[in-house]
Amino acid sequence: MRSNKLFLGVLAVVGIAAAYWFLLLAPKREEVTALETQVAAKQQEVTLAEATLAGYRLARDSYRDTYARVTRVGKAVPADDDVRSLMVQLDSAAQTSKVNFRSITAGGGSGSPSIDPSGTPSTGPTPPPGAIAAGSGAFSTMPFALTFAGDYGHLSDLFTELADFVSVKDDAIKVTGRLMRIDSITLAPVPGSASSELQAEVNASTFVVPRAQEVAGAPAASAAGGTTTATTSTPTTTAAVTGAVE
Amino acid sequence: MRAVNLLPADLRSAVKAPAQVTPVVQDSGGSGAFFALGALALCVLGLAGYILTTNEIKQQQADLDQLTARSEAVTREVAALKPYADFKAEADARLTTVRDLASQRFDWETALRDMAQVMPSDVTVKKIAGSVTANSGSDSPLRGAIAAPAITVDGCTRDQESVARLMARLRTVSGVTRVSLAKSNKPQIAQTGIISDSGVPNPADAAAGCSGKGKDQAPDFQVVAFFETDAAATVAAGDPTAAAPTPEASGTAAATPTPESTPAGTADSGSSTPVSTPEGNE
Repeated sequence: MRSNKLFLGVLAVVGIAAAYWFLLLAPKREEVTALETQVAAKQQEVTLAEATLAGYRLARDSYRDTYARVTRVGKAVPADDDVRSLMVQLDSAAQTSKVNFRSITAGGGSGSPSIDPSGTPSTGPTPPPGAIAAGSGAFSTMPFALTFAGDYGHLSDLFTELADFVSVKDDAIKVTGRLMRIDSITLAPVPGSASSELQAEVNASTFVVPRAQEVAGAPAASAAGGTTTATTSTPTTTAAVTGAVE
Repeated sequence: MRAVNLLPADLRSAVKAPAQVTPVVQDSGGSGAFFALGALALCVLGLAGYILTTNEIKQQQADLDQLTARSEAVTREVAALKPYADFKAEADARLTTVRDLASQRFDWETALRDMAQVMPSDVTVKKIAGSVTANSGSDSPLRGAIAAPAITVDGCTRDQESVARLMARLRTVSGVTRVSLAKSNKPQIAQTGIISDSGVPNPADAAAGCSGKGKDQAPDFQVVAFFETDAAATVAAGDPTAAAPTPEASGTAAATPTPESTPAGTADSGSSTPVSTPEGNE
């Protein structure tokens, strides 16, 4: 009789303890665990967001420099075909090389659509007339057929001048004019000429890049040295970008 | 002296009983106290555990609320600064594109200058045509065989051995990995429109042709010099069949198709041609 009472008492205590644990404490512990998980996830989210924010703050702090770089590179790859400045640059290079710049024909270049190094097809905005979209829409190529006349050495100098419009050394890009890729060259005597002059028929491509979206309200236009408005349309273009080093 | 029980008779047995059960009553009262104390202790522990857990929940909830608020603040600031990051990313991408495009261009100036330097003096060049893609419309049947920058030289020289010498010297030009002969035949009629030695036009030659300087039976040749190490320029120029750049200039034979050879020359004449005159001495 006594042992039964004792057993019942112990059983009651165990039952109460189990009820306490399973009905009262266990849900609370589960809630604690869930909250800990949420806190850890949120902490990770905050850490990630703060890291992103740190990068964004750097981007904001360097916005002026970035804008200036874009402006300088814009001389090499303008947002429009900008043939006028190209002609000025070509004529200047021809004069420097003592070569006669005879003709330029838009769209008469190689005609082969260019691709970017990744080789992905173009999906970008419509390029300007005469240009061929390429590089996932990152840029377009603008083919030209050019004709020069001069002797071999001077024509060789001309090709150096054209290549040096944009030169790359290590990671630095020096921009003094339009980025131009010569696709083909044909050198032959000038028809009907008895002089030592050669005629160079050059198929070349320039590049057009969509205009970068500026940050509204950011004080960058003035920071770029006021070169934005004078980038491409006037004969002073080349002088404006000479010496720009990225 | 005899002991006398002073209790009433009906109580005498009851008096004995307590004496017998006293230990039982005492035992029962002690267990109950222990049970009560144990239950109380358990209740205290349970309550303490409950309170601690509740406090922990409150603390975690407070932390979560604080983190949520911070996250929202950071997210707002991130959203506000995102245009700057987008602009920077676009600028970086543009710089990378320009850098890649500029660095993958073929160096025409160096190639032409080097070719002029190695051109033997007895070679008269009529036409030089260079292209970075195979489908450049060249009149040479060999040009399209390899998707790499190449320069086709049309001209004439003294004899077939001079053609071989020219090929050997072209092979020494920096970047040239293969020199292929398209043709070398002795013309039946005089050629017109000629560029003379080392690419410099000579009016006399232009008027008289290759055999005008007393070089009767002078072979008219066409050779193609390939720059397979600059195949990246071909890829950049949009030729999908461009060959991958070879690790070194001399190791291209196995990796690229061999242009159709002619009996007058081999695809790679640099090592097989015995005659190679010093630059500028001819």
